[in-house]
Amino acid sequence: MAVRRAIRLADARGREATVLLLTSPIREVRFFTDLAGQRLQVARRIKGSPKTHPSRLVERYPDPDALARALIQGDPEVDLEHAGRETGPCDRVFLNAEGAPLFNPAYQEIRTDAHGVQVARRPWQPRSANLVPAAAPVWSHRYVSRAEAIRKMIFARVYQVAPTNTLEFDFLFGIAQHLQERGTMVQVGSGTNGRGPLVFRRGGRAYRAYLDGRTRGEAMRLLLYLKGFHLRMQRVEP
Amino acid sequence: MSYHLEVEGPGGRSELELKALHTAAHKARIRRIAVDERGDPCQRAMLTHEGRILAAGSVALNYEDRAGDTVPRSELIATDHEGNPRRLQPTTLGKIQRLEGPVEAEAVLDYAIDRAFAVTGGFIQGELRLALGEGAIYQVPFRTRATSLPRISFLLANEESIFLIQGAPHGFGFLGPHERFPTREEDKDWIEDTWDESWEFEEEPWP
Repeated sequence: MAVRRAIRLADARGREATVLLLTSPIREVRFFTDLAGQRLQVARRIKGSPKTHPSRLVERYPDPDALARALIQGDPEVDLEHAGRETGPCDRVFLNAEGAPLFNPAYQEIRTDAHGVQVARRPWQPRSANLVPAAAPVWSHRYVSRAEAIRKMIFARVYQVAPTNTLEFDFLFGIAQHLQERGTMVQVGSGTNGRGPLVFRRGGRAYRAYLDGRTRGEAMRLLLYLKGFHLRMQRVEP
Repeated sequence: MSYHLEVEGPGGRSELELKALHTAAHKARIRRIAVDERGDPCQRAMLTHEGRILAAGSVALNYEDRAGDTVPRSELIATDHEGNPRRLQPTTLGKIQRLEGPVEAEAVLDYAIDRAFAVTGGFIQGELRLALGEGAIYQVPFRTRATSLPRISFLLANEESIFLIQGAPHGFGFLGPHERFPTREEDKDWIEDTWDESWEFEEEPWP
């Protein structure tokens, strides 16, 4: 069984609890059939090998005419022994310049400007996950109306905040009721002011997150939205 | 790439030229690369359990029948888990679409938005432009290609421009006081929390 992701949340009254984050219950699992209605399966097959890779062929035959002749006469681009075989389970590796696998490479962060020019480079410093910090979280008091939020930001990922017991349910219900009465969302985050980014896993990206809460009788829905980016004209692709 | 969308809404027919928003456009980026002992960038590859190295471009993903024959993608039919063909919704390009609404802002929060477009040209009726400027949100069908996946699109505006955002329903419902969840999910060997790294999020600036 897989462990569900947990998050430590505070409410407006300064209470806090560690609750669960649920992923979407909608599973868009699709199957495919052929025109005759026969169910198909996905297969991952080998097309080539390092020695038949286009980059290797170009190295082997630097003259384009020689490469063309070789392709026509000898089929060096086809690995007759392995082409068509299923790959089977695979591991991800990195290759150095010589094509040898590295199992534990170093990582670096490269910063480029708006024109794609590299401006800085430094060793990668992975961020620690901070969903369940050692210190008690803080209510950010940064409210934003729903209308303003959806017009300014893209919320690309959504989680449902869920309880593991009735006490936690009451705690979450209070937050949802608070937000519903105000008609706003609230920013949820890290740090001493509760406005820092959330990091879901070690080395993962940092996100701005917002809570939206609604109640319906005794039921409640409290959702955590992760901001993708701002809706701005400057983000139009060139 | 631009898309052309004709809509029927307040004031009559409007034409929208849409261009996709890209997270990396016009912005400083931070990306992570793997380097070898000399500091040279590494290339990603796969290593089979037989010890074979498969670099990028060495693998083909095929749909095959029981005989092992590859079926062209043009002959694929999407079905649900019971084998019922999924309804293929056609592209909306080249067809006039009707705006529905205005809808409440809360309606947008029932979806996880994964695409966004800016209106970069075309002709917008004055009534529609006024309504959007006052905060109206409209629902409009928009599909750049035929798909069987549920997609919903909203037309809205902020101080900068008019945008069309698109997403899929997240499906979360209300939880009653007697519902509680175990900390571990049954029947799963891993959390199906697929992380689409291609959807780049804004990075925090370096200190």
